[in-house]
Amino acid sequence: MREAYDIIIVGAGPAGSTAAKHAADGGASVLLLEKDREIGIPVRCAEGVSKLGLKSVLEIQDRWIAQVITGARLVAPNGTSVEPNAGGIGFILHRKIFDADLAAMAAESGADIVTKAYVHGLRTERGIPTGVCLRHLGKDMEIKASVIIGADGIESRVGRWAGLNTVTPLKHIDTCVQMTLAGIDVDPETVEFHFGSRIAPGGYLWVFPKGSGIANVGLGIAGTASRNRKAIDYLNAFIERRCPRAAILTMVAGGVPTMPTMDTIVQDGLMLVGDAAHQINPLSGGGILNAVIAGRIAGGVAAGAIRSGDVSAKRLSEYPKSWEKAQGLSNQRAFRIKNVVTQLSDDNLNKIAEILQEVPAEKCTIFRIMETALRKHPKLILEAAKIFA
Amino acid sequence: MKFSRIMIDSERCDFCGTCVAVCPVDAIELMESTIMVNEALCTRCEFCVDVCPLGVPEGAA
Repeated sequence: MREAYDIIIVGAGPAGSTAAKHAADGGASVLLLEKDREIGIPVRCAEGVSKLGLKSVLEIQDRWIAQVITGARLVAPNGTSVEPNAGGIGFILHRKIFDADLAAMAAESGADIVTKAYVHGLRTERGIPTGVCLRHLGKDMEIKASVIIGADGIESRVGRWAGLNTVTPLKHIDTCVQMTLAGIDVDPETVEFHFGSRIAPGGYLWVFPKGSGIANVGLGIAGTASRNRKAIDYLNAFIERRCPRAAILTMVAGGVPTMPTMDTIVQDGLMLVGDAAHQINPLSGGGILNAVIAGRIAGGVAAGAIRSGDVSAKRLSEYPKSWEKAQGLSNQRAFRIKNVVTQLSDDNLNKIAEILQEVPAEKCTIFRIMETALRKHPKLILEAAKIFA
Repeated sequence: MKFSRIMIDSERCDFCGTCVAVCPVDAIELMESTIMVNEALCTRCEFCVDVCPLGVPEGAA
């Protein structure tokens, strides 16, 4: 670790590591800091990703893939299930390996990486960030940089220290818990999504098989629905019904911002990426690919800013502009759809499932499901068409 | 219990940071396996109590 770098990135998840790689590829000196002792752990993620999406951003490595997924089952509150013609396949990843590989790619491009590095503040000169204050192995130190990239996740504080409003309102956060279970009876290539006010109010429950009789079983509920009964209580109840004898291999808690990207994600000498910038898809809660897309843009823009000697907010705003085009607009559409579908009553969900049961299998696409769920909101059907059709 | 302190039991906490995300005053300090509430900043809004997936933070007298 040197005393100064061009760019410091806080957080070595997919967003941070990808930003580090692309910043280093752009010729900048880069330091990537991770607060935990090991990159990729703990895995606070259901680990599902679409094949086409992953292929469009990275060269897929076999070792990342825990399970190939060929089908999906959506289950209504009364148990009626719909199996959409998903028109593509996906993967359940080994995030632990995936994240470590992304960090290794950043290192290969020349980034320095330090784990167990707890960043607790920004160094500033005349209000402009000029580095970070961190504690590493019992020592407090300051490292200088021209650009700080906050990739510090849902619990992000880098933006707050710079005066950005990163607070997530309760109504736009899903509070989640997941157990990786062994000895659960699942179709090995099918992901399950369960809906309903007694299953996961304001969110959904997922069962994502990981091979060898293992599955990630988790759920997210709306932050506003979590006052009296917690995510863990809903999950325990489901597991008690579904697979009371399954062994719990790991349990993780976590939060997912389900809102559009923050209005301001750059400032003079500062950028936010990934969950820290609220770049998760608000409808699905998926954030892996969005993090990689945003990280790539942010890293490239940061390196360009360093080369030009101008790290002003104006120069860095190339990043949010590109992000809007790449994924931000789509996330805004997903957010408007989410606000409607999470309000559907159990009766409505049951009715939607019944209607879809009459649709021939090959015509039962995700878009058809959305069309049915949004039939009272014709404007939103047009939005859904832009995402799913 | 409006003016109660927020207590976070480190033995039950998963250190996931969901409470940090909703804290309006940046009063929660989260490290790898340490979590602390800054009493001087905390306004006792209890958003952290509401949002915790595991029900760990509690308002205590």
